[in-house]
Amino acid sequence: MFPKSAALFARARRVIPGGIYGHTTPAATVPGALPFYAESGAGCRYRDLDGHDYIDFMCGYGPLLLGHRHPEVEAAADAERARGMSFNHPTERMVELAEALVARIDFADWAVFAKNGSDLTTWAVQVAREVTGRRKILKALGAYHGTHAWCSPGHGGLIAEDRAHVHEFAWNDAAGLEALFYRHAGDVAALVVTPFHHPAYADSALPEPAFVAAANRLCAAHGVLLVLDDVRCFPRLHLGGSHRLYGWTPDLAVYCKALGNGHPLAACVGRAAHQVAASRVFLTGSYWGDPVPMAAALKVLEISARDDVPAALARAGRRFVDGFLALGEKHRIPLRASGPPAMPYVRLADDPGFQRTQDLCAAAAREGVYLHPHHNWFLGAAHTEAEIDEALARLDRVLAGLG
Amino acid sequence: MSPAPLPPVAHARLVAALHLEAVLPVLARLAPHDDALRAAAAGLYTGAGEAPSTRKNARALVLTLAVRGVDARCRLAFSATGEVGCAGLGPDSAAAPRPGDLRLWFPSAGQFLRAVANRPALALPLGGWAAMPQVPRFAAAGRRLDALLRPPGPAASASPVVAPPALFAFGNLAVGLAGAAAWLRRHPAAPAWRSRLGDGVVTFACPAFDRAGLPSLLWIDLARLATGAGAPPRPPVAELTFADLDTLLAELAHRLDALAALGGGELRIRGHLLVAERLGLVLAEVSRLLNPAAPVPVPVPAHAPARARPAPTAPRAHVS
Repeated sequence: MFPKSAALFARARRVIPGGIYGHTTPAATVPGALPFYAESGAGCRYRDLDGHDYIDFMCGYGPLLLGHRHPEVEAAADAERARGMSFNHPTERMVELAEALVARIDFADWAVFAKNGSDLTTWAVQVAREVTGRRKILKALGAYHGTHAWCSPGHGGLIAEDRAHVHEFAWNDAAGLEALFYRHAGDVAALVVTPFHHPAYADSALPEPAFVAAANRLCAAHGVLLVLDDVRCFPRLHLGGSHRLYGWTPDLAVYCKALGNGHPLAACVGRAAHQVAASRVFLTGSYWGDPVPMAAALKVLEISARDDVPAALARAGRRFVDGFLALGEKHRIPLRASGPPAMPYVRLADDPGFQRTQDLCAAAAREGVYLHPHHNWFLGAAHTEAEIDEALARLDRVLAGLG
Repeated sequence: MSPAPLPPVAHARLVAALHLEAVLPVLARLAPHDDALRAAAAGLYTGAGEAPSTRKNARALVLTLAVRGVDARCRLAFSATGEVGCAGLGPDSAAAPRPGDLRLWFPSAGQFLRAVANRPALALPLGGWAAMPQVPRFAAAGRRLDALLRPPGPAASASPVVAPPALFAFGNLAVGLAGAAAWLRRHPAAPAWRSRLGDGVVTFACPAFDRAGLPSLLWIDLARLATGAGAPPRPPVAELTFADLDTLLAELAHRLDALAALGGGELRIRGHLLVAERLGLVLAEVSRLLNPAAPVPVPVPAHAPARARPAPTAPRAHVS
């Protein structure tokens, strides 16, 4: 099914460790049954190197909030690119984008920018340590916060000291979280959480109100900064930041994936009380002042508000998930859905090893629907009702074949 | 990331337990597939040259090994015709010695590990003295096991002493899985690892096993911390298939680019990749314990005063 992909991968593995590494490695999907390389994309569809077309429910693992090659976003980016980039200085776009985020995020008084979520989750941890003078970081077991040593899900190249001050609690376990706060009382700098729990190889879990309340209360009582890793969710779930949906009261929040609709950009926002401390934590990168992604992000924020994108995604996601579950009932294949509708994850119930879910996703790929067997999915504004229904019609055939 | 190093005594006891619970029991797994091992177990070898000789003993030999400070035993039964049985794990199991067993007791893990390394060691026979003359059968079987588990060199195919590659791979994988089970029972860090591994079954297959007449699957049950060959006890959560022996040998030698092999189809993991990945870390840890890296000499700065220079062979602290 993928002869060109296989040939390119054979070339790649000679010159690239792993052939393809990181979250896009074929190893993390169903090698041989899902494509390795992309060729082009438009809206909510893309074409792989072998010419197969897919309705895309991963959206580049999140960035494509508005779809591939969104005309308004690309026009803004092209116009900015025409003026040049990699200057000796930032441009006015950086200030405009910081102002736009501060205006949109209720608790935000300032913003900084980088390229990846990891850049700024790590920087936010440093800011929390600078503010508090403490060492400890608390995070949820299984939560992903980036590739840096304190939080990488990988195993190679790490030493015990990398995690010496990182302590984990079970998601939604308010008592366990409280116990950690007291065990390390006086030494906790930050609690790092995602808006909802979206671990790989597991169902997603929304935060229970009591858990959120406990986290907010404990941070306030212990003088600990609450860092919201909103990298994957913003602005899919709420235009004002995902904390608004679930009740988190963050001190710092990190945004990335969808901020530029695929243009590389990350942002961290924070409160005025921490602005001086933030100024003391060194932050830079060779391309971090690039105005092109910032121009794209300004347009993304504008369109998201104009079109109320989160509401549209919630509707589209609900239509997709409800339709998918109904197909499962029709074909007597029990399915389990988790996560918010705009970022759903559906898998076969009673499938602890994910083998049948892998079969489902492999069959879906053959029908031209791209689903990931072990990672939450993403809806985008380019998923119209017609395309949701087309995907469901294809999945009807998939489930008929699996049954 | 490896767990923190254990204190020396605890480390030695853990390695001793791995030998008792993982290395020696694989004698039973390999004997049906290796004539030389069965011959050794039957007492058909004189020893040094490993050349077949006349049968010296036609009796069964049951040997129980115990080590002071290690709550693991190994009870090996050698039949007159060279079949090997291995019973139980732990002090309260079927490994408990029975009347007539030759019972060897090592006063420390260090002494036991010296014996395992074919170095002079102190062992006290606590019973079954009449079987003492048959100890060379155990020693010969041990030497054959060592040869079977030794990495095949360039001349491997030409040497009858070295295992066929499929048997070498099968044997080492069997040791690794049993070692992983033992490690997960015994290491102080194991509870945290077990919570992340879950309680499923993981299987390992290679078509080369079938072609060599070996069981097609090896498995580990992470709930019971049991291992076996053939049909797994429950549907697995992860199924690893090595398409060819070279891929499996590369994995055993820790020189496989697993991501590339998965993408290229030489390695297939159906099911829970993270469980397989985490189990791989335990297997690597077991391998490091059983096959410690050679000490790396510390470079001596040219300007260092003579009395401050370390001996040329002084080991650097191991990075684990």
